[in-house]
Amino acid sequence: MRLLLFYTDPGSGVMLLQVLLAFLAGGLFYFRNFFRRLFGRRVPAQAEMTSSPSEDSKDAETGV
Amino acid sequence: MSTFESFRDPSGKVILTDLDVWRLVKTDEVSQVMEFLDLDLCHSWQSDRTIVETDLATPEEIEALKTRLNGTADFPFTLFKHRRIEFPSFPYEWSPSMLHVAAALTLDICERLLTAGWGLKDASPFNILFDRSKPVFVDVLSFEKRKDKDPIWLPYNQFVNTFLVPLLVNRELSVPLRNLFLSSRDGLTASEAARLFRGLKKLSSPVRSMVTLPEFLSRRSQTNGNLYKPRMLGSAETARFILQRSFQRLRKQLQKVAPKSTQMSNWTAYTDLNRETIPEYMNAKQKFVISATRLVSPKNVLDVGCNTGYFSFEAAKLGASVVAIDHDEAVIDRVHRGAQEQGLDVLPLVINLSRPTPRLGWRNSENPSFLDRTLGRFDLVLMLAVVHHMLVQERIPLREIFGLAAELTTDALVVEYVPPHDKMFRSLARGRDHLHKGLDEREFVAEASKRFDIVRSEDLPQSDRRIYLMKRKK
Repeated sequence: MRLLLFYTDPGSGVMLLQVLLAFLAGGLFYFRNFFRRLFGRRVPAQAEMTSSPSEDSKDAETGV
Repeated sequence: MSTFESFRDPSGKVILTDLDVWRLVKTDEVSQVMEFLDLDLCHSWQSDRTIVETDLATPEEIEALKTRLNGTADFPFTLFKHRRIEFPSFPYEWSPSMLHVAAALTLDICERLLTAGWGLKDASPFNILFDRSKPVFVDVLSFEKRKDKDPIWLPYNQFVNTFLVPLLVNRELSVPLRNLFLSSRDGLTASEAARLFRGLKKLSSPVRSMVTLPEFLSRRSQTNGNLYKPRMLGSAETARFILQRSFQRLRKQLQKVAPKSTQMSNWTAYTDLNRETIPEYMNAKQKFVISATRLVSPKNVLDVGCNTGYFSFEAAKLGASVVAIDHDEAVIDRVHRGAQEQGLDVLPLVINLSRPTPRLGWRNSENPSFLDRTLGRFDLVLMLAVVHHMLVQERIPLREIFGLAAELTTDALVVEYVPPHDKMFRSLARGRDHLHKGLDEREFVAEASKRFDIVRSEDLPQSDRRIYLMKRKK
């Protein structure tokens, strides 16, 4: 076990941060779509830089 | 001449010949490279030189390289040819604004690739070379098809360590980039950077989010491979959204560590000050150098101790391709910005010619030294108000200085003689007159004449300096 101390991973903090922020972004994506559907607004595909028109927006509900 | 190779990517390797750059790609990985080269995005990037032009090698080229290729690779490969970037340079020779534009290019590429379903599998400044003052992405093996439901960009950490943290430490603590990259090609981790910041600085933005928080998390995280296990989502759209947000976040952080355009050093105001206080000296020098450059009509110029780049820019305007070097990061930053704004063929690099970049990497054979890249490459070398620095500060003897100059240039040298009683000479010598005892113009000319023929010379007004145009003895 002690040997493991030598194998510290200085990059794990940045990686953890990326994963945590990915969870938050996934949540944001989920709630944004949820409220858009709730209020019956359809967002044009152009407005979403990241979305492709062929994607089914229902997939978004899966979240992270 | 040594052979320099790049082999860190297991998918292939790069070899250099005198005129070209060749990339061997493992045959079982070649389909992805071919697919990438066929993308419209790739065609547009090659035409605007965002990425290096790449073609399949012809059978004739493969035949011509046969001897060189024999035994080069222990795997079946397909051979590609890249356009050779005139003068390769490395992150430890770049100014902060150069590293910053290289980082911006990496993010631009990531964002455009994301929309096409592709990604970058690494994010190192060593994937980029400068063509003039413009960054060009040269590693075509870095492009891969994304797993469309993967919301994590594995090289995120590499991008932070090799671009963001070095820029942050440079901006906040004035640590020169060459110090960071000469000692570690992988940049600086959050944990290493955390030791450099003290007290409340650790909690200030952007140190807090780039260094303090990641360092805190890495101390508390268990080291095992689980953190890096792929996490696939149910939706490609969500994964793309998350990645887009990650790139936007990195871009915001990159803006926060942008080098200050007003960065000052002892040397940034030198030329302007001279122009104000000794205008006749500056005018005469400018006239001499411009007319000498016209006379020599060089293709490649090396400007040693270029300061803010006035003579480099003039040489470039006369049609030369210029490498401008100075040991001062702040002045090279200005030259880079100026060359970019004016679209001039000037590559500025942070180099001290008295202690030029050594060979680096595995067996000292991955990255050539500065002299490996320069000897015999230039037909005009400018050494203006620089020889006395080498003589006094570095204690390089005159015969050595002219010896190196004769190896750097194939044709001409413009050099300025600064006498020991000159104000600047005296301030560098700080009373150590015994170090340059006996130095006078006669000795200067005698040493120069062993390697060069003097074509013409001129006294510079408002000083006791003299400027020479010399041609190398054949």
